[in-house]
Amino acid sequence: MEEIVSEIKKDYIASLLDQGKRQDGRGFDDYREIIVEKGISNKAEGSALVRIGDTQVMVGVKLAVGEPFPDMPDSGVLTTNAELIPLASPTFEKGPPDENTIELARVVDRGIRESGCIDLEKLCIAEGEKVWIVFVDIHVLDYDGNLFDASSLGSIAALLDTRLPKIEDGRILYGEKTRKKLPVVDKPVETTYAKIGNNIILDPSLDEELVMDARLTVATTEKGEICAMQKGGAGTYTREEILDIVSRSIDKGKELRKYL
Amino acid sequence: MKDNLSRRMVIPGEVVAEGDVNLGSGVYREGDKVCASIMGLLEKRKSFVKVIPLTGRYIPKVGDFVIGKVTDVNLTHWYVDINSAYNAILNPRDYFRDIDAFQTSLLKILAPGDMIFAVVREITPTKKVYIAMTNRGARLLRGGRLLTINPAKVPRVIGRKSSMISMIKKEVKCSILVGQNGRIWIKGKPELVEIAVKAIKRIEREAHLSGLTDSIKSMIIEEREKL
Repeated sequence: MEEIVSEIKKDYIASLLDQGKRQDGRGFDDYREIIVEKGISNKAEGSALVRIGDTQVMVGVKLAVGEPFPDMPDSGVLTTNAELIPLASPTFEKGPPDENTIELARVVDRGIRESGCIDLEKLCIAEGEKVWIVFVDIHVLDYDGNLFDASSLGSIAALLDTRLPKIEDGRILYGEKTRKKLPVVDKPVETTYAKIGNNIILDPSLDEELVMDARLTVATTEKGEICAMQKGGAGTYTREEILDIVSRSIDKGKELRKYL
Repeated sequence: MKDNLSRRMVIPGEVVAEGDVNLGSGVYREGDKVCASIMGLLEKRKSFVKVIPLTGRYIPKVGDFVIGKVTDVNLTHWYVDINSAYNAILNPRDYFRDIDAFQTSLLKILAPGDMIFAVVREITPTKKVYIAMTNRGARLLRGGRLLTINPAKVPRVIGRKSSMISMIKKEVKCSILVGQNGRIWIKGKPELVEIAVKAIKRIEREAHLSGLTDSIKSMIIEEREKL
C-alpha cells in the first residue's frame, strides 16, 4: 500500500526547501538525533537498536554452522534479511517481503559485503565442510524515513557486538558466549541523500521521503572509500551532484562512525 | 469559563448520573444509571450529561464539516480519507457542479492527493460514510498550509459561537477552514500563516485552560509586532 501525499504538503515542503529551510528546522546536512544501543538481546549473538529521530530499527546477528558455497570452500557465509512489520507503519503489510523490504536488505548487505568488513575467511572451521554462517536480521520497529542509514548503522553495531558462541563436541551452545569477537575489520556506514526539486538533503524524514524525486545512498569505509551505492526514485542527478554527494557522504560517514 | 470547575475526569464505566436525563455523546444508559463510555471530562447540566473526550480519532457525524484527502478514483465515485477509521465516499451527484459521469473522467475533476472541504451527508449502519460538497464553501483547496491536530480539541479551536476562530481570522487576515476531523487549512501571507499555526498549536496544547481567547489574541498581536 502506498501513502498518498496531498499536493498542499508537497508544495509546502518544496517551497520551504527553496527558502533553505526544512519542516523540522534542521539544516540540509544534518541528521536527526541518533541513538545507538548495543547488546539489547540475550538470545542473539549480537544486537543493536538504532534510533534516528522517530525511526527505530532493531538488528540481531545469529550465528550457525553450515556448509560453505562450493565455489568458496574456505570462507564463511553472510546472509542479510529485513522485515518491515505492520507495527512499524500503517503502510506496511504482512505477508511475503515486498520490493522495499528486499531492497533494504540488499543495500545493507552490499554495504557490509563489498567493504569486506567481515573477514569471512576467518570464519572457516573446516575447509569445504564447515563454516560459520552469519545471519543479520533487520527488524524495523518504527518507520519515520531513512531506513537505509538506520539499518546499516544498526547492522554494523550488531556485528561489532557479536561474540561467538561456545562449541562443545561439535555442538553449538547458544546460551554461552565466548569472548571471541567476530572478525570485523572495517566500519562501513551508509548515508542517504534525497533530492526534492533542486535541493539535496541528508536523512529525509517520512514526509520528505514521500515527496522526494530521487535518493542516493552511499556506503563509505573508514578509509574514505566508496564501497556501495544505491539510487532510487524516478528523478535524476547530474554528474556534479553525485560527486558532491559522495564527498559529503565521506565526511558524514566519519560523524556516524562515532556512534558505533 | 465558570463551569470549568464542575468538570471532572471520568473513566469508562463510571456512573455519572441517575434517573431521567438527556444523553449526549460519550455516555450510555444502564438500567436507571448513566455511565461514561470513554475517558474524558464530564459535562453535567440540569437535565443533560455528556463526556468530552480527551483524545481519540475522529468519529464522523452527519452534518460535520471535514477536510478530506482524495485517495482513489473509481468510475463512479471518489474515495476520500477523512482522518478517521472509516473511509468516506464522494459521489459525483454530491459534487457542487453537475457532472456527467458517463462523459467525463472523474480523475479530471478530483485526483488522488487533492484536498477538499466537504460535509458528512450520510452514515450507514455499517459505517459507510458518504460526504457531499454541497455545503457552503465546499471546494478543492489549492495552496496554503495544512495542519492536523487532535480532533478532540477542534471545538476549542473554533470556540464558543466560533469566537476563537473568527478572532484568529481577523487578527492574521488569513482564510482558515477548520474540519471537525482535526484538519485545518490556512491560506494567507506566509509569515502570518506561521503565526496562525503557532496560535492553533498553542490552543491544542492548552485547551484545558480558561480565558484562552484573550491570551491567544495578545500572543498574536505580540508576534505580529515582531515582524
